[in-house]
Amino acid sequence: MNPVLQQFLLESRDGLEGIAASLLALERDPANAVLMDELFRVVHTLKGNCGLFEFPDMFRVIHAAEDLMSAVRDGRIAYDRDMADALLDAMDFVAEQLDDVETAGAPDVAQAPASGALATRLRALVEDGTCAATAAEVDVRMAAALALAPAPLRAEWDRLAAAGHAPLWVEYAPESECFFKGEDPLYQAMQLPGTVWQQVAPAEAWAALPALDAYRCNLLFQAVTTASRAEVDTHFRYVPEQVWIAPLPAAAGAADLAARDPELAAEALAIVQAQRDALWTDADAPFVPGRLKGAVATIRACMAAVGRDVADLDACEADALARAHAAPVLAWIERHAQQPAAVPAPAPAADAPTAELAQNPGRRADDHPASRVLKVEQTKVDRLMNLIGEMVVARNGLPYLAARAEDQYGVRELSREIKAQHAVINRIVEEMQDAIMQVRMTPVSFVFQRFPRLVRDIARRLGKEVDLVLEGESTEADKNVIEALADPLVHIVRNSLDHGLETPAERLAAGKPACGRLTIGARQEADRVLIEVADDGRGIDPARIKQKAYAKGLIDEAALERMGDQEAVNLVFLPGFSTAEQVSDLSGRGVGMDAVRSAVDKLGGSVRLESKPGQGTRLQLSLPLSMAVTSVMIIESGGAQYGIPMDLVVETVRIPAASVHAIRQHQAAVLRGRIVPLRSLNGLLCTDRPQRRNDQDELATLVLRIHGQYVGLVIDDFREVVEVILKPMAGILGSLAAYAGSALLGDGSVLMVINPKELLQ
Amino acid sequence: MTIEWKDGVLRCGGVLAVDDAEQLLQLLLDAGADAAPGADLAACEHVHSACLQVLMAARVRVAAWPAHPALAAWLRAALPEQT
Repeated sequence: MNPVLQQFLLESRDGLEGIAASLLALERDPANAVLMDELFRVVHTLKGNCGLFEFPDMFRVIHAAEDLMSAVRDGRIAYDRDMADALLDAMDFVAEQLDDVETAGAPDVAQAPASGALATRLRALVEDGTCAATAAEVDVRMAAALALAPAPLRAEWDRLAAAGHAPLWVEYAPESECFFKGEDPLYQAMQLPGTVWQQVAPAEAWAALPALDAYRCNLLFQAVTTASRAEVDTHFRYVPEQVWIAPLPAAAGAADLAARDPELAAEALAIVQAQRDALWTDADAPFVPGRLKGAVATIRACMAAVGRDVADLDACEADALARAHAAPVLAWIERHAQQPAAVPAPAPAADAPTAELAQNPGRRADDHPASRVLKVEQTKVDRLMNLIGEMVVARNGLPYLAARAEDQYGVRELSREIKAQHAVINRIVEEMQDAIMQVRMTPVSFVFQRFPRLVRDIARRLGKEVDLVLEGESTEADKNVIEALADPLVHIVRNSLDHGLETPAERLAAGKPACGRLTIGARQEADRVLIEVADDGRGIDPARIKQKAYAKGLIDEAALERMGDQEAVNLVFLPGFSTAEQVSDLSGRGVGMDAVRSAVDKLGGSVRLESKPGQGTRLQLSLPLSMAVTSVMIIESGGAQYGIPMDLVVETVRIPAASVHAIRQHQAAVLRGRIVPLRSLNGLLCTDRPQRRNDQDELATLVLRIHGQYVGLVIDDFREVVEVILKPMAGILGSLAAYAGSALLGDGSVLMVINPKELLQ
Repeated sequence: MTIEWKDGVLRCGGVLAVDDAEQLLQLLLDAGADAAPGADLAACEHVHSACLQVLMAARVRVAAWPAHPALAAWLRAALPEQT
């Protein structure tokens, strides 16, 4: 893909995001002129960029959208919801086209009808509002146009219409800057298929020659064609807004020709035209005087039959015979079979471009101050981060080296110097890590910005009224965390709208305001980012949840009895749990909240759900700020080293073997007045060695907190806590859910990091 | 492209491209106050719209039309013929 196209895709996506946000903001505040200007500017830039490429469908839609916005901005029509719908759909269409361009290199040509439909819909909105093109006005314009054409020609058009050709009147008014876009309107007009009559007139009176601007197009092309409407539309597909096409009314010139025999006149004219065609095709062939004479005789007869003057035809014939070329006769036919143009009528939209220019000086976006922000591809940043990760590993090797210098080679001095150097490198590496983290930090608004649109669309579809409140949009977290957060959040929000919030009628009946409130907030807490989605809907009924879980066999009867409300509410996270009675297209596919939880687990986060029946639901996600550096505790078990993520470790204890109790076949111990089940790591990893005890016959135990419950993991011994760059397992090993990944230690050995959430399931 | 004055007639040939409009305008200006200069377009293969409007604005009367029928038809629809 060429760099210009790449840049176009990048900028257009940014532009689309901005447009969607502005459209939604405008819906709340339709009178805001600043917003409208901004919106218009972005769309205009998008259109301009799009024009650089061969994307006619995209261009047409953007152009129609721009026209609509322009009409709104000029106050010709009022902005409303239908308009917002149409514009948002248009932007979706453009986004789809961009996707196609990115994947296939070119937009999907099959989208042309969709593009046409969208453009028509947008234009219809403009016309509905302004009533610009009523049938009566079309008639008036048509009548004015027809007045330009000489009567015999109109008779011929009638004949064409009678023969089922349905001639079209085409007016092409190129925009004044068209030459700068590489357009040649005359050439465009010449290529128009089926032209039977044409005229070129100045769009407005010519300036005096010295003041003439040759590069400001001031031409108006008019033509009558027998081509089909579709052909004409295709022909002018890049400049549809500059073309006015209307069918010629039937019997346009009949009245004028009542005295003569119109059919005869038209037929004679057609025969003369046919002679021209015949002679022209022969122009390159060897000149045959007989053929020319034959043609001239035919013309003379035809013209005589309709009472036309053929005085100079003889001279032309003589000239042609003398030059052995048909050109003079051809010229004669051109002169007589097509009447010279009548007086040009003043063009209807003559001063529109100047007026627009005067209103919008400097409409182009070029004069914005240059941004100091660099746009860098993510892969480049990722590479930098990987390199820094390796730097961390290399740094971790220095203490080993220092130890070896002292122990193995007995050079204490060198060992000290290596340690000093290590301290320096350590400081730099930490700063580098910090810096790259700052680069990768993305505000949560990256995810939040899609919600206004999503909430609006879903709420409209469900017939609910929702007031969306976004808080803490500037809270930042690592790009990977933010990106991975998008899908679970969308799911949660859909759930809230579908199941949580009631319809306006239900809300009023429950004594609440008709408009529901959905709050999505983010804030940072220590090294974690908390995301909260809260609604003031009907809340979750714990009894119903418990019943449902029991009916689905997810909990047993005993659990049903003793389970508290808070615990019951959290049952929705169990796999296979879905309370929706009906499967809707919004949520309720049975992959509900457990998908959310597993996604959040994968990020190293946790989910908490609180609900008060009748008052609403609050869901809290807690996620690490960054996933690049993981803090793990190195432990020893079964003669090997493992890592355990520190964020799960609550405490490390040594439990005397005597205080371990066996409850059925499980082991447990009482710690700080709480029963903690004990699991042996060797047992979980299916190695048959017993866990080693220390001299005091104590078991080394890591107390972990997993999904709110405490579990003791019995191991052989604790080692230090290190910061590592955790690499996910790849290939066949990737399917081993029991491991979160691997990390390289400073001495070059590989540390397997266990994923206790999976291992202890 | 060739544009030159010959015996008081502006003789044009080849393709009158968009870049030639300025030169064409200059030639017509240099010709002075002659109200309706004549032009011989017989050797023209194409006339760009920018050149066309210069010819139109200068009220050029055409003495000879190009050979290409569509081009000739459209130019006839735009420019008067020299009588």
